[in-house]
Amino acid sequence: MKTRVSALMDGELEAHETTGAVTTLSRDSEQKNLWHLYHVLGDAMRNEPDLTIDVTNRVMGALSLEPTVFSPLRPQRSAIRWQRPLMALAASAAGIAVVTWVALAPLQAPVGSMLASSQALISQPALRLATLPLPVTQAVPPGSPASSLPSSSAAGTAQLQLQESTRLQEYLVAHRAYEGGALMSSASHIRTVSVADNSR
Amino acid sequence: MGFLRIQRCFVVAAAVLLAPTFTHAEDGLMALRRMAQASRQLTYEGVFVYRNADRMETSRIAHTWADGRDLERIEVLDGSPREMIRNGDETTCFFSNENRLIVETRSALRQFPALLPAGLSRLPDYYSIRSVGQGRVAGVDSHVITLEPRDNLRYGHQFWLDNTSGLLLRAVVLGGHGEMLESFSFTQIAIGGPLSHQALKPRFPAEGLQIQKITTTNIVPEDLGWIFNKNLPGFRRINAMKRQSGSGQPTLHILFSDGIATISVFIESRADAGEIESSSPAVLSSMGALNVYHRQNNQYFLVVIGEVPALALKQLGDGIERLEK
Repeated sequence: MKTRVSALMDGELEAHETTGAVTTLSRDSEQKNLWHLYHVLGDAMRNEPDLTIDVTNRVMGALSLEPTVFSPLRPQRSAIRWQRPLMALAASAAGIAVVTWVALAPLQAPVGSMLASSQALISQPALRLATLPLPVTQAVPPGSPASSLPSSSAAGTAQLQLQESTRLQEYLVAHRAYEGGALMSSASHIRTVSVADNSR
Repeated sequence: MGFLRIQRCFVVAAAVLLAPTFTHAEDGLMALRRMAQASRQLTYEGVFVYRNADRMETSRIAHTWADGRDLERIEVLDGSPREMIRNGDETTCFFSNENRLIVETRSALRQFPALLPAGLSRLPDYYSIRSVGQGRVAGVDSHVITLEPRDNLRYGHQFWLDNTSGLLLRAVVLGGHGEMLESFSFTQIAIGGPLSHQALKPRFPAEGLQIQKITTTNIVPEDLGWIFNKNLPGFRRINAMKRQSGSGQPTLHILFSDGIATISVFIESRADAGEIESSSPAVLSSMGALNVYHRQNNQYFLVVIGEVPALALKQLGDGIERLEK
């Protein structure tokens, strides 16, 4: 039982096992308690401030459902999703459209206005058009930062533009791929929390 | 276990005292949680419009959930045909202009324990979340939630959620002055399925494509070889992986998220970097709410992408350093 709950949290179950495990989890109060305990433990071991908020919220939920039975060990149903991965929201927003659309944007997208807007935000770096997915034919106005590039490299720059834009396209797809649920399949991880601090 | 129990009791007491102040943000959070669940697990089909300052495009979407996997297809209906198919961990994008097919297989996160999820409970630290009333999108009654950032490292968001299913029907991203950076909105939607026949079937040609397959493997923090000196408050590192495409040099991909926005950092080695590149200055570009920041670090090229203000990307990007061993 314990290993199964743990494996579920670690995202280590196969898809068909996951369904079964979640079903059992939602019915079996002992497993539910384990699930919470593991998460609280994980938070505590990682010294997460979430610990406080988590329990509070869960208690508030439990309160609203059963004001007379006041126990952290009787969580409401939605508490199972409590530790929903960080990416969950990003996933749902992106899953529908926004980043997807951007990833699917044609390479020849008009980007002139992009430069203007980002220039306003950050004035320090010199802006260069070469790495942007601009059509080669789009003229760079004289005096713009791009014109300070060595002119002898014009052909190289065009080639670079193409490389850069295909590369950027690839990166946008990758960004999108993870945007849509990097953590969705992997819940909190009790067995490995001890090494979690290494990367902080 | 004892200390936990004591702490819990304390928290319970605190919760009772603080109850009224929690409820407002809690409503919003609850709705957002429901939205996350709904958007992933519901079956729906519809047409949406994406809009930013420069352009507007209509797309068709079909989504379902089967055997623990997302199945999704998005087809851009305006301009050059483009298509995205998602099948669990595999994302396929077709670009007709370049006749290009990118197949990205997402790696699982379990080898990267440091990327533990925070849940959404921390969101109120970085956004003020409010439920602001009722609305109507594509004929569906919905309620509106706003997320106002508490700093200038993230954008504001407005979500219209279906009253019945919790599904996200309209989303607006707002800049620092409350201006709309981009939005998407369903114009027609059918929730609950079943999907029409072939709704998820790819339409792109099977032949003559330039196919690029990318495989990714997770890497542990110790093997990353890079450090991030300027971390953005609220953004946690949630994954790091090595990307391999063909026989080229592998690229690193490191992901950060605050629960709403995601930032990707790509680090490529360009051993053959010529003169142009070695002198290349930092570059910023944006499209709607998505910004891109490029920077050269010796023979490495850093690309930082995310739907956060350019300032945030620059801050994160400028703090990236090669770890000398």
